[in-house]
Amino acid sequence: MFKHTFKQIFRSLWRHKGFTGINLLGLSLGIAAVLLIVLIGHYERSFDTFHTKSQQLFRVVSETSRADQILYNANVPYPTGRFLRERDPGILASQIHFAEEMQVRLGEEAPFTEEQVVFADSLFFQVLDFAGIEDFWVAGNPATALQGPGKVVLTESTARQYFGSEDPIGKRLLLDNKAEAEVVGVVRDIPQNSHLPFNMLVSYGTFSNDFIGGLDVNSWGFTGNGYAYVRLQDERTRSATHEALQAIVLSNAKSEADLKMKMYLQPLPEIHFDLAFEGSNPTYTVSSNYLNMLVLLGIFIILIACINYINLSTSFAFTKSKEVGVRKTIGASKKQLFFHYMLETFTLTCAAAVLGLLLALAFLPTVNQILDKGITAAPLLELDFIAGSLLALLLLTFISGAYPALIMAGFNPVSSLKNQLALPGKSSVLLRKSLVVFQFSVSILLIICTLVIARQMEYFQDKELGFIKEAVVEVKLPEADSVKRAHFQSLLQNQTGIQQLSFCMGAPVSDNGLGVSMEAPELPENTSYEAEIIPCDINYKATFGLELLAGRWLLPSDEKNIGSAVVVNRQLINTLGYTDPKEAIGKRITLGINSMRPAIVGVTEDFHTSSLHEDITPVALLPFPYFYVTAGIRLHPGQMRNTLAEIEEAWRTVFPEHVYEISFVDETLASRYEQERRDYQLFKAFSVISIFICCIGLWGLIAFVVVRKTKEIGIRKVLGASISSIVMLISKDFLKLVGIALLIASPLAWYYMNQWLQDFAYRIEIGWAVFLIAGLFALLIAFLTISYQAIKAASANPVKSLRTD
Amino acid sequence: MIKITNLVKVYRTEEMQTTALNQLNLEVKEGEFVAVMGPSGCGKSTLLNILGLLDDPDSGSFLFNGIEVANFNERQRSSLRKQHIGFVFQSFNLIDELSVFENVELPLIYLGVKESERRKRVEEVLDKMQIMHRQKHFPQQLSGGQQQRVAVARAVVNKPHLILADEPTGNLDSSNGNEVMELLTDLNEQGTTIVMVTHSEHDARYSHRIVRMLDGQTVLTDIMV
Ligand SMILES: Nc1ncnc2c1ncn2[C@@H]1O[C@H](COP(=O)(O)OP(=O)(O)O)[C@@H](O)[C@H]1O
Ligand SMILES: [Mg+2]
Repeated sequence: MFKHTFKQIFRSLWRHKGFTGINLLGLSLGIAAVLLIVLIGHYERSFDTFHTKSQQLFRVVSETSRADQILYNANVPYPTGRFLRERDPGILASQIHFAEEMQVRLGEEAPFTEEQVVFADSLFFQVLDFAGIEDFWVAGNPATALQGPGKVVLTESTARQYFGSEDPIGKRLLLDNKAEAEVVGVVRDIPQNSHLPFNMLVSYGTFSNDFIGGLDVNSWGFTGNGYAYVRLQDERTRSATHEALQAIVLSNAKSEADLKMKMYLQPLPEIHFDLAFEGSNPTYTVSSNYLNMLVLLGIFIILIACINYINLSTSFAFTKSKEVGVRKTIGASKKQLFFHYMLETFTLTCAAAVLGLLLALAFLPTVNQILDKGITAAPLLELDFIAGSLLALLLLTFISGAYPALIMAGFNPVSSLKNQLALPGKSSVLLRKSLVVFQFSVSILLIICTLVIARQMEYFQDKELGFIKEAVVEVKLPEADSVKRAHFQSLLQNQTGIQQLSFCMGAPVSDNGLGVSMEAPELPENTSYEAEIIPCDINYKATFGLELLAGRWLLPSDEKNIGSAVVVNRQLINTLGYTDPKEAIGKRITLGINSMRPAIVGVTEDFHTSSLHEDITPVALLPFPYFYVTAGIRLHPGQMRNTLAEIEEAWRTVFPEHVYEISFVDETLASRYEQERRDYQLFKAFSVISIFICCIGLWGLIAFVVVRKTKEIGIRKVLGASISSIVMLISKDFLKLVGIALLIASPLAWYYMNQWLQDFAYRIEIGWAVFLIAGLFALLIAFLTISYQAIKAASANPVKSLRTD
Repeated sequence: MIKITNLVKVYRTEEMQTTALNQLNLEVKEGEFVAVMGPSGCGKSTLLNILGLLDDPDSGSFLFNGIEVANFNERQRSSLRKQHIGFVFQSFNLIDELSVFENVELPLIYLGVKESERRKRVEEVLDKMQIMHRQKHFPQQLSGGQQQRVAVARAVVNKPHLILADEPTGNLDSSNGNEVMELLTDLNEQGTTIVMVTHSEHDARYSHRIVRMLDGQTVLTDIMV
């Protein structure tokens, strides 16, 4: 029975290639999209699952209430781990320092930069055991590897990269030109789905003030890049840890503000998903909402494809009606027919699934590239997944096939034999139209979202930031040494390609900055205020094109008397309560760094110090050579390549022992919008896929309409109708549906995009233009889809079409 | 085998009502060969559809082998149909996607006959209809006469007690038409009851009895000698 039915089904699908092709294409695209989404979701949810008993694992985090907000921080003071163990020896706590990058030197070779290096104490592998990774330890002893100073554990890839096929154990490295260490162990590569990725582990005993710019690693209050992890073996240690954390905060607080910090435990499985700690996580964070939105998008795409199937099969049913009549006459029961057509749907769905799987596999590398992830297809082979996808296939078959199969099985055999079936009834026409409206609503919604995101991204580009970001580079200086600075500057003196050069901690928007507390007589007590200090020399204003509103700019004499004078931005004096910049001149503020109390000598116009996600904060431009770790250089746009080479040469002359690093300010800025760029890519891809599936469905529907109206078109032409009026006649109804879809999609898109824009302190207004553009675009695409066949039908010789009847 | 009393069938469309069968009475005995004749639109096809349980009457009684079937639901009708009734149409109504063999096999599949048994019976009937050599062909590759022979084969493969034929020779030339009529006569001689609608007095002469219809009623019955 099955063999027979399948044979018939294959022949029927083969015979109606257009119908089969449209559905296969739509469904397989939808399935591919969903598969990719499932893989992405699976990947994100798999973060940090390779430690045993991960429900015992926690990270110590803090929250601090500020004047108008709560600050969440995953970084904790470096002594946190030690203090916890000292308070209660039963607490299994490990302290680490996470270095984004570190300079590494092997013997006499040139130094190079290693990324993601973790300094970890000897308890690290008892807390985070990585036991879920097979044969995690390739060489070395986990119990002793991180004990004492000067020990290094490499990952396999790092070891291979450094030493090739040689045995890495016993080899020595120089870290950041500061400490020597010996390789004592090799572990497997840390999977990409770890919130704490690293290429190298250094024993915590090696860690010192030198690695964090001379700041005190034993002081409380300063967090840097320290993290503390805890493994709780039982309920007692849990409450003991909470008590210990409270006591530690209390006994170490030096001010009112310090007491406002609350430390608590964050479960390890939540780390990857809790956006509150996004800013201080070692890698990216993803919200569950975002993953849910992806799933929703996938479901929409699949539904659009299912609707194509429903609409085309029901239209097609009338072509097939005679066959249905014959089958009934020779004895097929309703049940048998229903089953037959469901099986036909199932066959098509399975074929689409295979195609979709291949598509997904083909596109996985691209997706990984766009999203910068290491997603593998391995989960597709898991039993859960296979069972789930079989269920999903059945569900998909049911959604697509049930209604058309029911309609066909219900045909009156007499009428269908005579080809006399009543044209589709009012309710089924309404259903079909509603489904088309749904399809186009989703597509238009996606198009609007894509347009809004694109416009916000344009805004990132075009928004005046209050400083010059084009053709400006930041060159890292390995040490803040005035003699070397002067040397470097003198080497570049005669470079015509350089417009300005300033020594500073970093560009207005850069990875470097000093957030400190701020006090002033004008500010209420008991509330803490923050300001950002940008340490910079007298050329900073000219290099970045800052605008002075009142007072004077910094003078060389200010640099000799650090802490006597400061130039601030408009936001800072507004915080103090001044509206007129002149009023603020001469006022003093206390900054939380060496408790200095400089006088305000000048006020600049506001400029951005972070991405447009953030409001402009109070900024203090302070001459403070100790922090001049960057040279900001503005180039003449025309001859950058030569100039860049000259800069590098000068740098290498001054700092021969170090790794040269340069970055363009506008690129650094652009990297702050990575998430938005990904959102954009995602919505663009989904828009294209959904409008494409909509249109092939529309194409199919129009084909049926044209066949049904052949005679009417013929008669109209004989009566003198023009081609364009006939094209309009055919298109009108469908274009109306697209219009309705626009009306439905617009408010939804407006609402959703407004939510999205809330992430930005600086954002565009969603004007009516995007709706207009999206609507016109959808109409145009729909019209082009329709008109090809409509024009063909309208241009046909009427005599022919009339004679066929 | 068939006894119809006061049968009424009314077609209602939005614009009008057509009474296709109007208080019609008819009896067909087991083993009979009855021809139904009458002008176009008098209700012949409607009668045949009701006899074949493809359509249900509005009122009246329809006894099939002594069982009242006028009020049967779709499931009951389809089960009775596939066991007892075979159809032959003017326009053959073969399924284009199926080969000759598969077309003939289809009723047996719906009956749930086992594969080996199916093969035997299909081959048997194709042999009888002399289209064995065409069994792998598809309907489009056959002449009209051959197609109608396949249709007859399909109608008889489940050994029905009743064959309903609606103008079976309407689309055939006279020699092909005669062949089909010979086939039907053979079947009748082997015991199958046949009701056949026809416009041709020539074809009607193959039957035992001609029922003449007008305006949805039987008006006259000629007994053939
Ligand atoms: N499905 C239908 N809907 C409406 N009227 C119908 C339908 N089928 C048949 N009729 C009408 O019923 C009458 C009898 O039709 P039919 O039985 O096909 O006649 P015949 O086969 O004798 O030519 C005709 O007037 C025809 O128009
Ligand atoms: Mg008729």
